[in-house]
Amino acid sequence: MVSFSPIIMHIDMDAFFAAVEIRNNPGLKGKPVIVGGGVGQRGVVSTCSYEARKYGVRSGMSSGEAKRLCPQGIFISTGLQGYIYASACLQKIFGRYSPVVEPFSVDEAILDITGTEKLYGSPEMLVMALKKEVRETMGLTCSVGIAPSKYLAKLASGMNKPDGMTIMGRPEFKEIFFPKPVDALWGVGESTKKSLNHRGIFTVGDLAATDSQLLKHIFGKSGENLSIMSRGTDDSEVFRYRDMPHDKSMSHETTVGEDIQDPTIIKATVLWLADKVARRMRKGGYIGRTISVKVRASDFTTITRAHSIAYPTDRCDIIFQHAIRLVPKEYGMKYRVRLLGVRVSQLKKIRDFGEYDKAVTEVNDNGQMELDINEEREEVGKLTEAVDSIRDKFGEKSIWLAGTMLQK
Amino acid sequence: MYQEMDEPIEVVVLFQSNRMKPSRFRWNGRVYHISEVTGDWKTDVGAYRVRHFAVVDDSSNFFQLSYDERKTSWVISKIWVE
Repeated sequence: MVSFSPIIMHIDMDAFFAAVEIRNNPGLKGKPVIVGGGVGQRGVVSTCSYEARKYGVRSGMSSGEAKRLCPQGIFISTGLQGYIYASACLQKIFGRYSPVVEPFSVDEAILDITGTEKLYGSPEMLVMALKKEVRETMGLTCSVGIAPSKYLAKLASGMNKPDGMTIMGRPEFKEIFFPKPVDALWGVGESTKKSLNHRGIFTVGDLAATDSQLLKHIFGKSGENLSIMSRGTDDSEVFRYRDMPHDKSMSHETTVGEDIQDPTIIKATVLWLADKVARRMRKGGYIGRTISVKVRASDFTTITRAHSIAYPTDRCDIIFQHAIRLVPKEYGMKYRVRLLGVRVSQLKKIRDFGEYDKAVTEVNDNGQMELDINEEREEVGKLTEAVDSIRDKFGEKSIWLAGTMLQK
Repeated sequence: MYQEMDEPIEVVVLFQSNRMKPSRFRWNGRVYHISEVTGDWKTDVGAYRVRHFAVVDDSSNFFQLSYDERKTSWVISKIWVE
């Protein structure tokens, strides 16, 4: 019996990528399937079947570590398009149960099911019908959390996996979560935990009892969120897909097959990443102002560096020019590089920006901002358009920047 | 493990309930009867589309068949080998 309102449901597909692979190839059923990285590669585990989890394999772990823990594991390269297609089919199914469906990620969705009782009876009955349809039409299982807010629903769905259902009101949240360590909250990582523990805040209950202004003072905006999360008072709205706020950033990163020791290859790889990010931005109609890079050395130490430009852009050459300056010179010389990433944030939709022409500006050789009105830059814009139209017609791999050819 | 390939095949397809459903295919002179289409999805290659089908034959072998709309041709793109 659900006694709260609104009634928010979080659906989390169980080991989604691995489950799709097992559905496609039933011979993999019951085996430790590990998706991501691929055989002999150095990537990262995207997800794995529950059989692989028994060996300690987890999402985000390096493939090498997963191989060590589970040598008999079946490593499969990520088939992202297949997962995206399955995800789109799932979103269609979810849309039959509520008009308000917010895709939360490729394998998660949030539904506002307030007021659906007349159609389905209780929320529990709705969940049973939805799970049955997902199982029968897609051959997949999901875990569901029902709560009065998005955040609590997300926490609830993780409590009874796989193929589970958990209903959690605010009193139950306090009862279950207050005694738990702070990192039981979704979004609290190792460094935040350390920082909280250092201040004598160990449990979710301790965090909830801490003055929100103090948390804001220590952690900034995320301090406010910590306070809201720990008290279970999140009241953020469930957005339909078409009403969702714009993406806040776009990024691309790659773990290289062999550690990079050559600055030329670092340059080629950053150019390749900038091209991928810029292309996605143009496809989505975005321009962005803050360009950042992520560099991981062979000893796994990771740095991120960011720089904001005066006017937003969607051009590869501008993103690359700033991104490469952000990569410290000693990488590729003194330190070998394992992973590189490029991100553009502070995104805006082009139509929201007004005078788009203002966006095509960049730093000149003297480090000053200038308007992009000269011929050379107009040419770059035309070239970008031409490359886009070739890729639109013949695919992403049909034409590429010569400077990326050294990228491994 | 999966073995990626690009082997041309001939395929008999049912068009059923607004969907394509491969029913059997000939590869290297041998005919394979598809007992189940376990998954299907599409990838865009520029303006063209490639439709992929995960299928299992009546001896429980897994194949991934791909239909290129531009070339109107089929290939086996992946098989599972123990």
